[in-house]
Amino acid sequence: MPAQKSALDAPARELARRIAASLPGGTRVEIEVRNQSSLSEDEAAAIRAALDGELSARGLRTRDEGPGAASVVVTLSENVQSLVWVAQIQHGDDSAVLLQSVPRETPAATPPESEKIVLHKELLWSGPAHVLDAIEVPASGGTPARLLFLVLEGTEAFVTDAAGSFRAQVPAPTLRGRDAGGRMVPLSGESIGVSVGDSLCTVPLQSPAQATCQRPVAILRAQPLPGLGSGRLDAHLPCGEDTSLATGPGDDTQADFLRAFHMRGTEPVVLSAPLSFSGPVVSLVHDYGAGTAIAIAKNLENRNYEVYRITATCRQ
Amino acid sequence: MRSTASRLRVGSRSAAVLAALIFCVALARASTRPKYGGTLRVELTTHVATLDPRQLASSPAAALAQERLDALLFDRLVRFNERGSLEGVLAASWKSEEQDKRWHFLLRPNIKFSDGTPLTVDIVAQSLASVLGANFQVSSSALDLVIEASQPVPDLPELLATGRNFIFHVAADGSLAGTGPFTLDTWTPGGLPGRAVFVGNENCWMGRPFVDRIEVSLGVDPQRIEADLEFGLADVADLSPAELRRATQRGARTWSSKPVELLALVFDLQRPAVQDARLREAIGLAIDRSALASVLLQRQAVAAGGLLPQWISGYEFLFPTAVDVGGALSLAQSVTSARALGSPAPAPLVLVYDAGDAEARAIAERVAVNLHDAGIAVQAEAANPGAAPADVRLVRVRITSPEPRAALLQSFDALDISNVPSPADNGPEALYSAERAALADDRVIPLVHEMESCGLSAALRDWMPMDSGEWRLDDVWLAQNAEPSPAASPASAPPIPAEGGHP
Repeated sequence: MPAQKSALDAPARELARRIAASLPGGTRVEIEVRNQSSLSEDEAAAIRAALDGELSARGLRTRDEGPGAASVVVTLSENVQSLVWVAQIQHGDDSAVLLQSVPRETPAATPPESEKIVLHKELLWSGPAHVLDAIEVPASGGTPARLLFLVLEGTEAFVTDAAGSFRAQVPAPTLRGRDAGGRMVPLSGESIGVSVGDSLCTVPLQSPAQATCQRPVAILRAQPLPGLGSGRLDAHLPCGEDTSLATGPGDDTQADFLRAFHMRGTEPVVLSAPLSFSGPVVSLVHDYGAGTAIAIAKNLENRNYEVYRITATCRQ
Repeated sequence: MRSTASRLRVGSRSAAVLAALIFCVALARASTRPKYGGTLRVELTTHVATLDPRQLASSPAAALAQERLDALLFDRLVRFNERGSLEGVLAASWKSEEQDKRWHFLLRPNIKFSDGTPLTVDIVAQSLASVLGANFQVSSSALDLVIEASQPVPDLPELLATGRNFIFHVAADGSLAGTGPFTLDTWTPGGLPGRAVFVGNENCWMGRPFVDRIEVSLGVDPQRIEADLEFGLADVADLSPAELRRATQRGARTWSSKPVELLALVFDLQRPAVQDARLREAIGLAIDRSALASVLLQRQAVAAGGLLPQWISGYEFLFPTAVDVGGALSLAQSVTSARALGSPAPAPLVLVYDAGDAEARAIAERVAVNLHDAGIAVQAEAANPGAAPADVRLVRVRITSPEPRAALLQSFDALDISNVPSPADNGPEALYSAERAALADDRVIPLVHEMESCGLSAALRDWMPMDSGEWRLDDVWLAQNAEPSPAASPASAPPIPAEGGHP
């Protein structure tokens, strides 16, 4: 994925610069890259290319053959917090070890599968922040269309955009960490409504700092419909039937999927292949923008929250 | 079934907000919604003598079990999240000054202990003063909690996220109350087995837990645990590596942490027999760590070359673990030949292990066999008052912090490594440099990093412990029947259930 490769390019070149600084100019270098991390082989190859390029640019000879070369073993490792890249340099009797911490990036969405309805997902955003909800606000009054997130961070909850230029503080829910939930809905072209914890807030789009909130309110819980559980959403997919989306039956420890279905009597009829996610779908809501739904999934591998736009095409 | 969102109307703001949001909140969670209620049954092999955080446990295993039970009753100021980063619990924010010698913690407002007492900085100060020790001075100001030390403590928040650093209120009768998700209903630790019953704290500031009660049995025989898991009489229970293997073979549901416990040899350099660094290096080369991990510990451990496991440091592979009997023999012979001619053969080294730790005994005996092959005589003995003085001890160090720097300093502290400066920063290069310096004299020889394992019932849901092994029992819930936990992968995606919904 180009975005990931470019994000890893700069630290790779930085490591190469440090390797070059530890060796005399013109040294012939035999470099080996070992991938012991969650990076893909394509990403490892891109890192190798960046290392080669930067070492060559620094006057080291990475392609020549002959004796007297310095041996450089670069191990792409990781710990719980970040990637850890280690360069072990051996040049004659001299040896050195360089270590570098590199922030993790995010994997891309996977391609769709096909059945009667084909569900698609488009990764809109990914990051470590705990996203409770996302909403696309259309362009209005000179303000461009933008994606807003309801985020829980530490002891604060706020509505923000990807650039951080929009910020409206709202009360943090007290059920944080157990059953946290929050929702945003468009109220008009000028404001959005936010429900979080036991508070209801109105956030003006032009002046988010002037959000007003009231609390407490009673929060009603939906009763699961027979046979479907709680992970579902009426989606009105363009295929001539009353269609809905449903999540898988797993809990928050399992990878999840979405499927389209409709009810025939009391029985659900599946209309699409599963659209898979690398973690539980923790939120599934209507997309007030261009798509059918917004799904927020928690990636079980990198623990990022991922916001997806879900769309569907009909294969009659 | 009509869309909840399709009912929304843009119009009167307040009415629309209330109506729309209430409907939308009804769909607040997409994955399987947790169910409230039920009793979670936990069985631990360890005895726990007290739940008072001020009381030190008698062993590392007892300390871990006590900490797990205390976490049901009490909160800390901060904790580690699943990414290994700190997040506030009772603390809303924190900052340091004077080169990290003074720390300020601002408390989250409007929190009460389970006995109704409001959380105040005075109470927090009293709690921490009783568990932090003499190196820290804890005081309260009108606004925040202040913790001071004579030396910089850059990772004080990480320290407060682990161990006994719980916050509690001492009532007039001496009983303790916490702000945690449960309160204590029954406590009979001396029984066979010991028993503790916790009930959900309806007024917990983070919301009541999903299960109504947790019944904990203490000091349970491992064979009893195997049977209880098999017959559905326990929901979460300790498993040793051997029991885990049997449970896995039966197809039982199990869980293993990442490697979280270091087993290491620690030499007493006051003992003449181990003062020669070549002998200690020979011992390090002679031990077959891979065999310890894969055979003795049934692959529930990995060979350890460093103090920190690979998943925490990211660089442990730089520390060698390969066995080199030839190198060990050569070094041992050089030590022997350096002795004065005619001097008597040295007495076997005394390797002492915890008398109550059967696993440690097996490891110590295997180490003695390895060293015998390298020409080094070792006598493995259980620690007891009549035992010979130890030349070397087999120790366990539980690594509770997933943050690399805090974990390294924790291991330094546990292994009494005081001759190495603290890492200059949190970067991997500084940490590797400090760890390498700590191991340079072979006073400490890491052997394996061991995982910990549990058996789980089919009814248990949202079992999401931290990588570091910390259980989060307030987040689990129980399915109402005992169907196996559903697999949600698309490859085995089941049809949408016709009725009954989720288990």
